Amino acid sequence: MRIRSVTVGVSALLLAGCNSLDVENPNAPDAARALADPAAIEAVAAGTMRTWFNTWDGMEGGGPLVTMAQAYSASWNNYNMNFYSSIDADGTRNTRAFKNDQASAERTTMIAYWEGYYSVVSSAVDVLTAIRKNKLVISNPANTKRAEAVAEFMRGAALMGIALNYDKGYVIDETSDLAKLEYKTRKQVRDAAVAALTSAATLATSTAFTVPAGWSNGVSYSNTQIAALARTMAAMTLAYYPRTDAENASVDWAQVASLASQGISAGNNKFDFVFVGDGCSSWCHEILYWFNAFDGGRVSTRVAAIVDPATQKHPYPDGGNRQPNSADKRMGDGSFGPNDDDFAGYFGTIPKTAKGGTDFVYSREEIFRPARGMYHQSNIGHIRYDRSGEQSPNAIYGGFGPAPVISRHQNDLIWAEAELRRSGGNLGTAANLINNTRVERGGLAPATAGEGQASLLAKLNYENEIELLGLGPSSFYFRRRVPSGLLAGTPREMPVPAKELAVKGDAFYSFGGTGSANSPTPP
Amino acid sequence: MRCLRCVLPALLSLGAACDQSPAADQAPTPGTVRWVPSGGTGDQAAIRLLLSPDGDSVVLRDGATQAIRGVVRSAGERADLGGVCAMVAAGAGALARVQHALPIDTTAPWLAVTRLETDALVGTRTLLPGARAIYLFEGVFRGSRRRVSLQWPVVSAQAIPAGAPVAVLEQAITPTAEELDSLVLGLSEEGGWEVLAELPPAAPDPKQATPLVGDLPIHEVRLEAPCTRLTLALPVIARVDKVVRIPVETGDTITALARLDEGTVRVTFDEAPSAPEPRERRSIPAARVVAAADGRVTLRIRVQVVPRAQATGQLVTLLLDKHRGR
Repeated sequence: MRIRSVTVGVSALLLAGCNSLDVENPNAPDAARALADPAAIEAVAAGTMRTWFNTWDGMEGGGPLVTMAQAYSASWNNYNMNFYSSIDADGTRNTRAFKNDQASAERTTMIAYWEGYYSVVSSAVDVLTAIRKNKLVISNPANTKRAEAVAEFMRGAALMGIALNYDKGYVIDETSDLAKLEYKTRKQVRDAAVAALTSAATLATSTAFTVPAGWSNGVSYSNTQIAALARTMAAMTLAYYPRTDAENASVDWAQVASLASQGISAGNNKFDFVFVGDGCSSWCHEILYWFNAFDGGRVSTRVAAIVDPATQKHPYPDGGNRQPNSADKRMGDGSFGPNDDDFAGYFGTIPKTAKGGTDFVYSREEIFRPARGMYHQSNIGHIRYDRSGEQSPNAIYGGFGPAPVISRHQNDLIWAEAELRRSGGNLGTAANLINNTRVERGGLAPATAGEGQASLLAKLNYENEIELLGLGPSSFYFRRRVPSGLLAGTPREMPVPAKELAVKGDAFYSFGGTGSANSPTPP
Repeated sequence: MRCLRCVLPALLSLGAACDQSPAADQAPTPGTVRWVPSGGTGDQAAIRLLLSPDGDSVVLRDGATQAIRGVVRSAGERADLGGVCAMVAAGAGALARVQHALPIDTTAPWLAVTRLETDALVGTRTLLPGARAIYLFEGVFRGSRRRVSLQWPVVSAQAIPAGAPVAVLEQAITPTAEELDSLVLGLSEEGGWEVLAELPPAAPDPKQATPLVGDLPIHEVRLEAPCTRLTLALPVIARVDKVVRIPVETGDTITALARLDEGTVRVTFDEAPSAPEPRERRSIPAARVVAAADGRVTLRIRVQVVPRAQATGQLVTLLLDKHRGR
C-alpha cells in the first residue's frame, strides 16, 4: 500500500484519528426518533433502488473502471477517463495511480461509489429501523415485508458495491451507531454483503408481494424475482471480489454455484434486472448513455480483436481497422442503422444488412482527439441496448428506455465459472450455460464438456468479454482477476476517499502506479 | 477605533479588509465579559485567562505570559458568524471559513472535535496538528451572538500514532485539553450588550456558505440558538440522495432552500407530506416541515444534471432555518 505523506508537518503533535466525537449524535440508532410515517418509509425504501441503480451504472465511478479494463475506450476528460485509462510510453500505467488527495481533480473517481452506496445504506437502515425496531406496519403485512426485503436487499447490494471497489469500508445496519463506526476489511464487508443479500432472499421468499413498477421506473418484480436477484448478487459479490488470480483461486466456488443456480437464470423464470431510464433526469444508465452512443465511446480494440481477430487489430493500427466479417452474429459485418446518407455520413456507418450484428457496429470515424493517443481509437461501437436501431435520442442514446443492470446471461456465466472452478464441478452444466449466449446469441459452435476445463474457461472468458459490456462496471471486476488482465500500474481497487480520511484524521493513501495495485489479502 | 484584525493580524486574520464602517466607530454598548476558573481549581488553576477590554472587544490573554490567545469580538465588527455557526452546528463536518489564514495547513484534519457549551456560550473545540499545533475553540455567546475565539499553542512530548483515541490525544498535549476546555467554560457575558443580528441572509448565497463534508453522505446539523440559520455548501453527486439530519422538538419549523448554478436541485423532507415528484427535469428548491414529534427530521437533497454537458459532481448552496414552535 502506498502511503502518501500526510498533509502537515508533524513535530509537536502527530496526526491522529478521532475515532469518536464527543457530541450528541442524532445519527445514533435511536429507534424512538426514527421516521414513523408508513408512506414516507415506503418512499424511502423505493428510493434506495433508484440511488443504487444510478450509482452502479454511473460514469463518475464506472467510466474510469471500464476504460481502465480496456473493455470500452474513451479518451475524453470527462470522469477522469483520459487520465486513468491512458497508457504511459513504456506500456504501463505506472504514473496513473488513483489520485487520492483533496487537491486533485481526479479524486472524484473515488468519491462517487462511496457516497452513492452509503447513501443507499443510510436509507435502507432507516427503513429497517422503522420496521424491525419500531414495529412499523406499512398498510399490511405483505407491504411491510416488501419494504423490509427491498431495504435489506439494497443494503446488501450497496455493501457489495463497497466490497468490490474499496480496500475497506463500514458495515452498517439498524444496530449501528454512526459515531462509533470502525473500518472493516474488504473481506468482512464482502461477507456482510453476502449475508445481507442471503437474508433478503429469505425475507422475499417468505411472503408474496410485488415490487411496484414505479420503484424501478417501469418494471415490477415479484417476491420470488427479488429473492433470485439477491442470490445472483450474492454470487456476484463472491465471484467479482478477487483482486488477483490468487484470490480468485480461493473463492468458495461451491457457494457461488449454489447461489447462482437459484439466481435469475435458474428454472423457468429467467429474467433480466432492468430499470427504465427517463432521459437521465432521475433514472440514468450513464454507462450506456456514453457507450451505447458510439459517437461518445467505443469498444476497446482489445475486445474487438477478440471477436474478429482477422479484421480488428489491437492496438489500433494506422488508418484504422477494416469492416468486420465475424462469425459471431453479435458482430457480423458491423453494419448498422438506416440507409440514410445523413445518418451514415455523421456516424461513419455502413447501413444495416442481413449480416449486421446485434451488439456491435462498425464506424469509420475516429472520434477521439489524436493528441491523446491514437491507441484510444476503435472502429467498433456497442449498440446492443439501442432498441431504436438508429441512435435515437428517444432511446438509450438519450438515456430513455429499458436499461439493463444485471442480465440473466451474467448469472449464467458466473454459474458456469463456478462449475468450472469448484471441486467436482459439472462441465456439462458449464458448457450448456456458456452456450446460452455462445450459440443462441453468437451462432458459434457449441462448447462441450469433452473439451475440458481449460478450453471451457477460454470460451467462458470470451463470453464475459462480450456479455458484461454495459452492465455497470462488471467488465472491470472480470478483468482484474484474469491473469495479466489489467495493464501494469492499473489500480485494482480504490482507497477510501481523501475527503473522508481527512474528516477522520486518517492518513491519505492510494493504489496503483508504482505502488501496490491493491491491499493485501485480508486474513 | 481600529479594527481588531489590524491589531492582531497573525492571530485573527480573516482574509478581509479592515472594516472602517461607521458602525465600528459607534460608542461601545455597555457590557462585559467575565472569566471565572471552572472545575473548582480556583486560584490553583494551571493556566488562566486575563481579559483586557479593547473598545467594544475583549482580548483574551494568557494569564502567565500576557500573550494574546483570543478575542470576544465587538458588536461593530462584521465577524464571520456564519462560519462559526456552521462549525458549532456541524462540528467536524463543517470545513469552516474560520480556518482561513490560520497558521496551519488548512487541509489538516480536525482532531478531538468536541462540542462545549454552558448557559453562556456554545461552540466547538478541536486540535489542529502540525509543527505549530494549536487548540482551537470557536463559539458564540448565546445572549449577544458575539463570536468567541481562542487559539492556544499545544505541544506533545511524544509522538501520537494515527488513529489514537480522542482521550489519548487530549491527555498527550500540554496544556491538556481539559485545562484548555476549562478556560472556555469559565467565560460568560454580563451587561447590556446588544444582540447581533448577524445571521445569513434569507436566501442561499454561495459567498456565505460553509463547506459541509463527512466520512459518510449523512450529515448532522444542529440548528440551535443562537445559530438557527445556516448557509452550507454541500458537495452532491448527481442523482444520488444526500441526507442532512436536523434535531427538532415538536412544533419546530425547518425550512430548506437550495441553490444550484448548473443543473437542477430537489429538496424534500422525509417527514413532510409526500407529493408526486415531477418527472420532468425541474428544480424543487424549497422544502418546509413542521416537526410532529421530538427527534429529528431528514432532509434529502438530489441533483439532476445533463450527462456530457454538466458535471456529475455539483456544489449545492443550502440555507437551513429553524423557527421554534410555540
